[in-house]
Amino acid sequence: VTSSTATATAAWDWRCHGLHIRVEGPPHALEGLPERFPGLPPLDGDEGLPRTACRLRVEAAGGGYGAFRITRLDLGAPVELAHGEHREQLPVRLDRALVTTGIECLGSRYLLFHAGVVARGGRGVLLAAPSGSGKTTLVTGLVHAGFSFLSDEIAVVDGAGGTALPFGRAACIKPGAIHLLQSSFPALGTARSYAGYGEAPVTFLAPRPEQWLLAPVPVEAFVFPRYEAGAEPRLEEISRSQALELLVSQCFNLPRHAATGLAQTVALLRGASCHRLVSGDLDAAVALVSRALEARGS
Amino acid sequence: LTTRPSARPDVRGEPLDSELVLYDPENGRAYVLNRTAALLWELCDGSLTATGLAEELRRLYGLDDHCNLTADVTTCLGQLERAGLLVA
Repeated sequence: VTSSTATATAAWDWRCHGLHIRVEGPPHALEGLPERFPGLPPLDGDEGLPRTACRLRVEAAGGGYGAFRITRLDLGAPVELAHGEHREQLPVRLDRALVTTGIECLGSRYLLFHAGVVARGGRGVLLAAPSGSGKTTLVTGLVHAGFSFLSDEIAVVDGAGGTALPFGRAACIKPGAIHLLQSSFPALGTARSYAGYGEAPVTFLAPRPEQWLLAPVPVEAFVFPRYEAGAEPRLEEISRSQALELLVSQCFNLPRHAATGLAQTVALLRGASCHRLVSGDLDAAVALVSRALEARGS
Repeated sequence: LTTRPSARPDVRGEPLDSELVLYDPENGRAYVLNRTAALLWELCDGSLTATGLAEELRRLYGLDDHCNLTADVTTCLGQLERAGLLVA
């Protein structure tokens, strides 16, 4: 973060696979961003985007105390991405603006899925599901069990290479999951929480540097998790065509890549095992996913 | 039964296990065909009627002469046609 006291503005840069997003605004607006959005170095084996620079500006918007707007400035004319009436709303709205911009730019080169990604032993597991299915909780539980972290929400997939890449953002923990994870991650108990869009506040959990996998990883298993309170934990194998339907429904940008994107998605599935996971028990879910990956390696 | 359906040449097929994934570039929709429907789709080259396609499928599957697949083939062709995957 660089800042200028004379103008009371600061700037912070986020880098991810050749994408460079600069955020400018009052210093308070940038607080916590480096922890929530750890930048990623260029990765071996990943060509990345051609040089792509974006600029977001946070500024006061008049109106109520702390009203703000977030504008994207690199599109010719300024485009408002978000606004809010209260300063507490800023972090989550800025996060959303960053993620949206990231998806838009990275989506020109990569297939992007609403999914978490973890890896162990050089083999990736992609966990795709709609919001509220328990992706982040499961990803965090898997990382605690020794898996490497690539993402809890946005799976960046190099369709041509058939590999998943990390997305430089900390895990976003919803309040309902904190009690499940706090014994494994005591810092969650005292971590700052951020107000959401009318939802309960969220907390961010940044993996330790050694918990990140900073390399492309082949996806060897696809898991479609669903949290169901009290459900008997079960992991059932599904056909690749069933997995394709589920995966396509969680793809942010398949129409952009059209037939090539679909062919790449099919190719990803060809060599992988596909499972549906229903569980209300985190430890059991972690054990089931671990066993599924181990079974492929044996 | 007298038309000779033809698979749309711009629709791309990707094999996935025993099934075939079709992608329609006009509307961005994908379809998964089971093994038999995939075979039928691939046979739709504009040279055979539904009756001829049924006969060809019967032969490829090694079924008895008295086994008539015409009704099933007609149903499947109707589904492919409604999905816009065929040209008449």
